[in-house]
Amino acid sequence: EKPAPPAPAEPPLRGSVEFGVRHVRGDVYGRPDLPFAPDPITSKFNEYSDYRSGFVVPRFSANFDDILGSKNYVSLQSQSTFYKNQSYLATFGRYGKFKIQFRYDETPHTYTNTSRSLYVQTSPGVYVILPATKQILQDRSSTVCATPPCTAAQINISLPGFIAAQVVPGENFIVPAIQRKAGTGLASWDITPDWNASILFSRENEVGTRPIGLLFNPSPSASASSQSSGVFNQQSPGTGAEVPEPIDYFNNTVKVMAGYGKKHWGVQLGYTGSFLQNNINALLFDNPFATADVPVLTFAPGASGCTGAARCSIGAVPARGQVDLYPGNHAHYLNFAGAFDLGKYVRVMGTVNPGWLRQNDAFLPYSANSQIFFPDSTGALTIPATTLSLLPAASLNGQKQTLAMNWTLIANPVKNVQFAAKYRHYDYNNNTPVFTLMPILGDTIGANAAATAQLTPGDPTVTSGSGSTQTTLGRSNPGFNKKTFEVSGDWFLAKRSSVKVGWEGEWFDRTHRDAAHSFENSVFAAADLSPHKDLLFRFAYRRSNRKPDMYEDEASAGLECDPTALATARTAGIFPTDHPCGRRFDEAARLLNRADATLQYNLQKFTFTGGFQTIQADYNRPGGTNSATPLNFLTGAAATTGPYYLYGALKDLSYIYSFDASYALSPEVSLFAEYTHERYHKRMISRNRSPFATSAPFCSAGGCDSANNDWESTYRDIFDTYAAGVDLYLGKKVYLTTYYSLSAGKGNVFSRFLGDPTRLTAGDPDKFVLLGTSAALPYPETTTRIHELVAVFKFKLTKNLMPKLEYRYQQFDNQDFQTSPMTPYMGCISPATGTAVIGCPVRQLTGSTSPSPTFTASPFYPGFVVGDTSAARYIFLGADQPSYRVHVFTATLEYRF
Amino acid sequence: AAGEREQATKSPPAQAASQPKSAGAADGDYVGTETCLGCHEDQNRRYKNTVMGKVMARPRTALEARGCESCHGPGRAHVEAGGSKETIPIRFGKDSNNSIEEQNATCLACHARGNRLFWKGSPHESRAMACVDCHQVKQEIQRAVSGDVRYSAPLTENKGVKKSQPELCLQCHQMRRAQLQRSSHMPYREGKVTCTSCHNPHGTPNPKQLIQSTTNENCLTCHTERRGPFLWEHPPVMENCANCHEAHGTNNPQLLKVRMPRVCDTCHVASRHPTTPTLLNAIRDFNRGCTNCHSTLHGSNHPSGNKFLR
Repeated sequence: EKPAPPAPAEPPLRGSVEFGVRHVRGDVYGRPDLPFAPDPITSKFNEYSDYRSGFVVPRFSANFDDILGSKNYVSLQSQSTFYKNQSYLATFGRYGKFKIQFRYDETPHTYTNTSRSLYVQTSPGVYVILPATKQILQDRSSTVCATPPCTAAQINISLPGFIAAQVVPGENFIVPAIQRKAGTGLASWDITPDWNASILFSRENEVGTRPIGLLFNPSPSASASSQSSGVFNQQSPGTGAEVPEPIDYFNNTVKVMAGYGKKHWGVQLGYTGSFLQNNINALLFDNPFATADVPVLTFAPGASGCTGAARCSIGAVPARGQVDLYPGNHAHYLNFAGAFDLGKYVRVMGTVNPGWLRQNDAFLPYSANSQIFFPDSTGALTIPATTLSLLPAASLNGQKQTLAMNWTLIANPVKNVQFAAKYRHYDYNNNTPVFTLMPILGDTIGANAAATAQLTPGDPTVTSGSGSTQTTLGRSNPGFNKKTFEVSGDWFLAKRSSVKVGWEGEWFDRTHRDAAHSFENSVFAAADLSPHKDLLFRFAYRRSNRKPDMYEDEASAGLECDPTALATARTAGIFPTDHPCGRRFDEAARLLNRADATLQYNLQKFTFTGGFQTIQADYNRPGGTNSATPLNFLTGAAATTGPYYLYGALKDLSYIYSFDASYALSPEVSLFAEYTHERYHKRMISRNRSPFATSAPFCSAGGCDSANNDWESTYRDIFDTYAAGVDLYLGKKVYLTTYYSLSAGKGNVFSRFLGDPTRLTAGDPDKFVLLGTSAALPYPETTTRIHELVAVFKFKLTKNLMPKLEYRYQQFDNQDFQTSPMTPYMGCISPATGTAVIGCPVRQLTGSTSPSPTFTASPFYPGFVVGDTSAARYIFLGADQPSYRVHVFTATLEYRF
Repeated sequence: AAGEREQATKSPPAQAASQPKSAGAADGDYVGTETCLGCHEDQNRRYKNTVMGKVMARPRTALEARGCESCHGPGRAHVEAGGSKETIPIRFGKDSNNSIEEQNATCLACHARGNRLFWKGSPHESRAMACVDCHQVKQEIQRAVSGDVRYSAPLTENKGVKKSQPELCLQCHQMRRAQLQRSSHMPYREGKVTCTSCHNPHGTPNPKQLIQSTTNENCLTCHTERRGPFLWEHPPVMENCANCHEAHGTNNPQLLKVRMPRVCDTCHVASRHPTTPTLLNAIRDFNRGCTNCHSTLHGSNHPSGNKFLR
């Protein structure tokens, strides 16, 4: 029979454009303490997008085939035109032959809308503060207190109120945000049906600012810790500032690829070059609390409050800080890949990817403080630390080589059975030159109570007042090599049904880390069963056991993790810098169990997917590289209920339950619902440790290292994610879709002491010290909820015209103990107990000798006001992402042509 | 002609062990596209406007020249039976009598190169996933209104998938759907990053089907400033970004798995301040936590940056 002639085809639509207007309104709430109303447009609502009121062209697309009678086509697309998140894609080509494509894409990233700053950027990377402001702050931070001459402790109390009340109100409002603008050109050519070549060039500019925290010295609390409490505070070294880090990067990427494939084999060759050009490689920023570089100051006994027989000193203070921003770098990767059939039943595949990473930006000097000096040839301290010739090299000449190789063999010896053997090798070699440096961290250069002047940089024999040693440092080159071998077998027992079993071994070798060699042994299994075409059950399980051969922290003085040996060492006055039982979770022995289960039911009108996943990592394993016996201080029931054999992460557990379902009530109406519940739980143990000298060990004034000061922290995140919605499609004319979703998360950090808090006797080798501001207490709960309600109405007016109305409501409830109380100063801070603070109505902490101190309430964040009196000379940006409510109304017309 | 026939019927490189069911069919078993269109014009009307339809309209190989039968196999038996699905040698979808392997082999006859080179043995292949679980051939993607308003998808020319990303992947990877809703996230919901920005669902020899060789090489494709080499390296950073970050979303700042200072405390069981369980009003607890001071912890190139302070 001769078939009937085909019906004439409808002319295809060339494209569509959607345009209209948008109105956005909303408010930011939850920060009644702020003296201004943050703009919802710059809130987290627009973190990566750009919802603003005005004319909008959300979408445009056009396709033109056989243009000008040729066989070529042109395709144009755009999204969010004219806005900060706009995208464009233009393609010219011939189907199956070649393609030339240009893509332009912008992505904003807004960090916060509550920031204020004293700083003004005068040139790229240079931030200054008005001299008068600096002078005032210097005076207030060194010489002004209720009863002059002032000590550091007195000023730490008087300074906060002054800054909060007098300085912060005059700061500039800023919105730290960056914008990525990327243009990409791609040319791809199918030279033959078997042979393709392509070249891609991408150039991205990332420009803007983001918050960065910086110090002028090694510690923001140096003012409190590096000088005798009675020394009158001539000048404090412990200062810091949070500033907007200037970003001006260009990322250039080149990719050249060629692939050739025949019936039984295929190969690919490629090159990728990535080049980062950072136009601002250093950040120079004024010290709010110093108008000029200040050298080390020393005081004779009796002078300026220096008590005792030894001289007192205060460290050097820079007028400006200097930090090295990310250096420009480039990376080159070659890619060789191939796949070959060896006969009818075996296929081998392989890749070889060598890589070269390079970085050679010029070094900055050791310090920006011209009043710190290095010794000259005679030993006299005459060479300023700002001198570049002090450095062993002008730049790093950083070089790394990587090599990734994968070899895979797949065999199908019999029908429905497949075996796989995979070998993977990854080598990360750091061949950067090694040389010795003499880092200047700031005040430790001079804060030595026994000194008569500045200490000598690089002298390993001298010790600062706070106990840290000034020494030369030979930088090390960490690197690693990882080898993985896997064998597995699949049996495809029926359609959509299979069983898989396998084994994997991983050999991990590291240099300059604690576990030089480890082996991880894994077994895994998976089963997919489809007893009915509409029903599918998937299950997978994996068990891995990682064992390092040795765990040797180079800072643990060669001591083993053995309680008896550690007790002996402590008696001998040995204090390893790192605890010998400390284990970093990425290197430590670990037992890992992972299980996934999924059920999919898919009828014509009803679909359902339910899933469960758990991942359970257990690091707390006795023996091996860990302690064989519990490290707990308390014995008996207290220890047996939670014994631990290492310090660091003990457990990392997660449980996830999820389902989604959809049901079509009729061809016009469908419903969907989703729910996911997640629980994450982590547990870690630490020990409060401070160095002691042989002559004064055991939790006296000289330091402390006792299991009685072990503490535990558990981290718990719980998330519930809901969504439900309805889609209506009436008479092929009217579309209505609406949904509501809620992502509700809450996080807790619980901490508690594990020892005996009654051991408070001075000189007790196991004296309990987790008291007052050093108490192990839970943090306030962090909650985040994102509500979204959306309703979209579309009406097909004609074949070509479709008006659309959209309403979007989004609410973000955020209560984060770290940022919700932040202001450019530290909120209303308060010392541990008792003392009144200028500008602060109440004290926050009660009980400086209590292991369970309590807090008085804050009006906007119950139970908590930030503030660290020992770091009083730190000025922040006040960066927060407060809660918001935003309504977006959009009316557009879609025209199809 | 003999050579063309051989090309049209031999198995593709990726599927030597599982040839398309049409392999071995004689020339006379093929009836030609015109015959198919006699009954299936509706499908053709949609299909011919797809990219694949446009490519096949100007066939480059003998296999492509088979038209409908290049995928569905020789149609003579179907025509002679007067229709019926059962007589179509290759059909796709869950109602098909063909095995997943047979269905996929048909697609791989043309699509075995490029980013499908490592399909064989990949996780999706070994879990018996069919190409048509995600892809559709006879019509281009139709943006569902609900999908459109929940997630923005990046602009793409690939319209041969059933749903836009990330919706397509989230159908099975449900926990990722929840993670994408988190407050701390990369711009997935906003359509600037999507699943295939990092993963190749067709298989790669790399962990987690990553496009790049390692997690770090993947992350550093965009975050190039953190690539180094640095004068002072932070080894866990250098080895694996996922030691501290959860790329799919968290409720902690900077996609951290655990909030500061605990994310640092977990490893830094040394002495002094990392081991002191300070109250929440300590400077290492609030605001940026440890990075209030140690802001260059991804690596520092400053000669005095050994503590990642500058």
